[in-house]
Amino acid sequence: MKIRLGFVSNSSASSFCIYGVLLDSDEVRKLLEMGEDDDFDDPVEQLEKKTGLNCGTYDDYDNFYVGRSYDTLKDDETGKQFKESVEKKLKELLGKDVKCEHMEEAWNG
Amino acid sequence: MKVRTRFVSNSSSSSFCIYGAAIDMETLKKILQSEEKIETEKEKLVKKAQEAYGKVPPEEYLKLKADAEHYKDFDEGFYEQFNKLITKFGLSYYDQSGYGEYFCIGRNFTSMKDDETKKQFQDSVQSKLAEMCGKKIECEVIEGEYAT
Repeated sequence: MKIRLGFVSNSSASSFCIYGVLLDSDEVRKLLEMGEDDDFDDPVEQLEKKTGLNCGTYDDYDNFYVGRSYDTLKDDETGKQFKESVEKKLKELLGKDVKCEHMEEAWNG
Repeated sequence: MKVRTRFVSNSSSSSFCIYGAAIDMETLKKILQSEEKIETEKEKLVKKAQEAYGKVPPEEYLKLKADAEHYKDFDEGFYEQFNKLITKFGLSYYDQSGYGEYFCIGRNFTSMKDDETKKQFQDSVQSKLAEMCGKKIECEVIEGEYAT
């Protein structure tokens, strides 16, 4: 079970931690096969559907986090396998080697 | 490791994701009080001050005495002792409430070794917490924010 603990201020804070990459809006448009001037319409959901990975962004849609959340680790999966699965998937999607990192994000909603 | 935060309020905050448990201050104090190591440390300082009496300048003796008294004050020494305890068990903690009400204790997922499976990772946390607390502790994936 996964629990979320709120912030002391009781603000509607959100956070996530993933292993993956940060993509800019152009890369995401390309991935989603969108035109340069097309407006985003629920891009996170589309991106998750397209990549099969966990995604996140800000309201301004300038940057998108794409990777795997640690709570998706399988019981018999090692840390190396977890990282490799993300790197492999992103290489397939982007057509190039990508440097993945542990990324933490937090914001007040 | 990349840590990026963007809070509307511009407050200094970060997020974390660990496997572990949220333990309140009172429980931790009881655990720390039962740790032999704390007593030993206190006794060592008291002994040091007593031995120094009459052999060192008065101001130096008073400083040693104050150090020993500081250790007698459990609340003041809490964070120091708590850090020692956490380090001893190879765990991490986050003071999420910001004022020590309760602590999220466990292992950050970034500490997972390449050849360690998730099950081994979780078992290690459960076993360390059980040893530290003297009883089985229910562990979970805890994701949250804390003030820095």
